[in-house]
Amino acid sequence: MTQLVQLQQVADELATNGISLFAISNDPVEVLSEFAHEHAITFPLLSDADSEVIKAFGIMNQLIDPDEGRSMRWHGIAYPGTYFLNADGVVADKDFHQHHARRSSGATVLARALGREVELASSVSADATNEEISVRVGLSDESLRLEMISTLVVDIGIPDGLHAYAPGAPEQFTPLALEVGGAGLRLGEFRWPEPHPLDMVDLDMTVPVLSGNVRVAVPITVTSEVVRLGHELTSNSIVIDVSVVTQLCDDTACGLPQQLSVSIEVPLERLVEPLGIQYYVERVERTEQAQGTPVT
Amino acid sequence: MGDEVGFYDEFGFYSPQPIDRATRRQPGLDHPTGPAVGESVPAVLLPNQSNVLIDVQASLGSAGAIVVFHRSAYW
Repeated sequence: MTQLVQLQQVADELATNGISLFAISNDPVEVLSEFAHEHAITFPLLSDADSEVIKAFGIMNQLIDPDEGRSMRWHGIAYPGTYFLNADGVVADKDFHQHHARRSSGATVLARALGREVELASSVSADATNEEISVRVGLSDESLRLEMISTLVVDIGIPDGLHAYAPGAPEQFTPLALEVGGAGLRLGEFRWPEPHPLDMVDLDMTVPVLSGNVRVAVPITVTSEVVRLGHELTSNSIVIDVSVVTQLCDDTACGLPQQLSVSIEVPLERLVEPLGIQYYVERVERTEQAQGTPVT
Repeated sequence: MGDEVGFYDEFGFYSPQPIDRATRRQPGLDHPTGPAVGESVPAVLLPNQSNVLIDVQASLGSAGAIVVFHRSAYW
């Protein structure tokens, strides 16, 4: 399970920052012991075999009948999600997704727990500049994986003495706009820095502006359109296209609207998958071979 | 198996397990997510992977804790 493996990678840094880490499932101790051994997991994997804690939290999955998948312990599983507790055990933040396959990457969880921006993976970055602005794109993780939500970071550099109108400024001001695209990507809500208000005395109005280094964070993941659970990857990387449109101004005048684009190629990696999934994959691949078309 | 059942759910998510399997059912947007921000969580006293009982509330770090509920380490 990729999530647990990624959390192990950030466990030391969480501990250094005074944050302890626990994972809970209805797996029996033996299963957790085997998994922990195989993947060198040292933080507590807690066994709630009777789902008593899961029920006490009120998050037991109600969509599975007691007699379904008994040998796999399907009944009694939790709706997956993450709680961030403060030192008094009170929920300070939580992260739940409607779809059970979606979860935050370890790096994203770490940043959220510490209330700071993600650190960028050194191996994944791209940039572009023109005479005025620079755009640098980075990622929280060294790779993208199916439905693991990483954070794309776009730094837009605006020269001293100039500003851009912030998103939310009236359209006639050409607010700074960011487009992120690419087949098989899903994006979350863009997080922009707080703009500062600029008094436009001549127009008798106040307009939000951004200046200096403008860092925009975008939750991003790859979907089944490009990665099929359990199957070999059909591509080892994915291209993310980033485009910035802006109009820069100083205190007296504005330049023309301009666009600057940059693409970043990010490695794709498979999830850490249970062996059992291979059985199903082989069935699908046999079917596809027989019928000559992919399953739908 | 195959054509009559389907492998992609309504979110476009593919799994080699056909979508008629119980684990592929998806809750609505309003599915319960337990204690709200600002609330305390229930007591957690459970065995870890070494079969040692862990009391989460007694093991909170100086800055708190992350508690992750997952479906299974196994499947």
